[in-house]
Amino acid sequence: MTSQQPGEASRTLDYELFQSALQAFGGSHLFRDPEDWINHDNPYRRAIRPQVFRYLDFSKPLARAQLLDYSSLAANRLLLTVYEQDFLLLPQKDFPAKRADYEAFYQDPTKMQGEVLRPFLERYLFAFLDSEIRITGAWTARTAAAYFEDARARCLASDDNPAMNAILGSADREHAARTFLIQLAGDFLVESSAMARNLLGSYGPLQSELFKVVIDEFGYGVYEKKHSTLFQRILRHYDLHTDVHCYWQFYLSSSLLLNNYYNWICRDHSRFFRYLGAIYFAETTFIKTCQQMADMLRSVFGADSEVEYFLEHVHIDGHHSRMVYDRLVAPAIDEFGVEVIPDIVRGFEESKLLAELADSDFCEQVSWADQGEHFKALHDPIFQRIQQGTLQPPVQTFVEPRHELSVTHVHDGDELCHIESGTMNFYTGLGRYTPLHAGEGTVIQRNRLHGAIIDSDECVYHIYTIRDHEACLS
Amino acid sequence: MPVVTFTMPRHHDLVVIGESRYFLVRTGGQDVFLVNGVCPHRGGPLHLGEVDETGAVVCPWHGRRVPLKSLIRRAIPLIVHGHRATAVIADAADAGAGHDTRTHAPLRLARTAPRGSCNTPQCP
Repeated sequence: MTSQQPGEASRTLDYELFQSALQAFGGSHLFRDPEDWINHDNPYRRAIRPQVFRYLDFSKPLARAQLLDYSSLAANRLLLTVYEQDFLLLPQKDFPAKRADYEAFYQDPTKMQGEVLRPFLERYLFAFLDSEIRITGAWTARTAAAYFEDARARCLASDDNPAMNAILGSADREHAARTFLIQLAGDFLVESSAMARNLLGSYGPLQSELFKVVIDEFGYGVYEKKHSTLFQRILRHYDLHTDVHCYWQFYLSSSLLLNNYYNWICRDHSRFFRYLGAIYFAETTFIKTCQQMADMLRSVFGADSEVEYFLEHVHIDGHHSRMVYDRLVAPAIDEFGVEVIPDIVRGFEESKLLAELADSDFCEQVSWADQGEHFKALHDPIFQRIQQGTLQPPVQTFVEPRHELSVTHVHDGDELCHIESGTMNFYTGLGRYTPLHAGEGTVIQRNRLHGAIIDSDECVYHIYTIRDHEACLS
Repeated sequence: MPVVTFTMPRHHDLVVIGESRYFLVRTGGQDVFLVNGVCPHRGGPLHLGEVDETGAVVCPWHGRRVPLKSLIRRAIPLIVHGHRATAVIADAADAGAGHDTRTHAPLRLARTAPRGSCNTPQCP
């Protein structure tokens, strides 16, 4: 007989409630697997692969090393969907045909189920930050000022931008640049919606100062000047759609995580001081990175490329960085005491960590997409070893009809895809794929986003769980 | 006011910044504190001391007992992220001269009362 610790029974019960809500949430018609890679002007439809939920365990928080695993991607897709039930999203056209989806997205039971899921998913995704970043010591207004001055100087001095380097070094620079814009689109098309969660309430002069930043983001009520409108112009210029979450399937886990982080710290008002640090990081780092993004776009697409969104931020974020520090961070310390400093510092450091993770994940994805032929070529020697019996990995077999689409996902270890008959187009990004015919296949690299669509009347293929493709070849 | 970034030492706990000595105290809650390493009595090396049963660091020079709690209460502002640490040094005028971490064994709990204790009162 085992004894239960105090609270254990209630936690178990709570997780059962979560699992029940998860199954019910996933049962909504909104979240069924789509038949296309892109989401056509319907912000309520989200591909979250509910059929996989029963194999996932969200009860124990993710460790840093697991942040790019499949359960993280699934949790991030779910959590952003739940958060955005708070935002008013309307399609650009043909609302009557989408009205049923609109109502299902915002009304119970979907809304109520999302509220049950949210705290579990937040704990699952963000608990690692507490152990990853430790902040101690007797902070004062002076030491905080020294820290932020140093941090700001470092942000502005750094010329290194791994994501821009990856794009400029890619074998397909235009595709890499569009992939980057797609990562930004998840947040930028609803720009400042997360931070606007902090506008309501009553908290003195800070509230009015934050409002000034938000009205800049919203273009002072002039639609053409609204930052999300400027970003739509960017997307349009580079032949991308402008509707919210059109490219949902191509968001990387880390892009979703960063987006969710800002929603998390803004939705939970006990994390307001953490948010102040996070927004200070975002406004400060954008001064430099937006110039680098504009330079990158001009380099890839030509000198007359559309870059106004980024240049606007180079300019306005110089003001916003100063405004956030002088009128939000420093006054918050004066008004609410030195006890809030560790929270503010934590917000700065956490958003920096998540931005670095997003950069690294993006760079890996660019490299993965560039090496389609390389990973295809690795199929033959590994499959040969499987046929010879040298390798005996677990295998699953699938039989799928023409146009069957496998929603983008990642694996927690390397896998080998082998086509027995028919043709599969194996996607590593928007519009970028490697055709795989009978007898061919590819290594699927751990944590790399991919999907597939069948391009023959039928395709029979096998997925071998090889875990480490390099070990298979050694 | 210098902001110093350094790699967290794995096998020792002394951090020398400029000409000032600090040491790292790791608590059971996994938090890490960077505290003053200079004994308030005669400037002895607190990082070489032992922690007695009352939770005080016993300075190896004259046995002055400095409560860890008071050292932690006045700890240097510190951010630890993985193996990287950032400290803001408010009271070290010479801290701009650079930093170093030097090897010695971490603080350990004394099995017996330290010998040669001096009679000066404990730090607050």
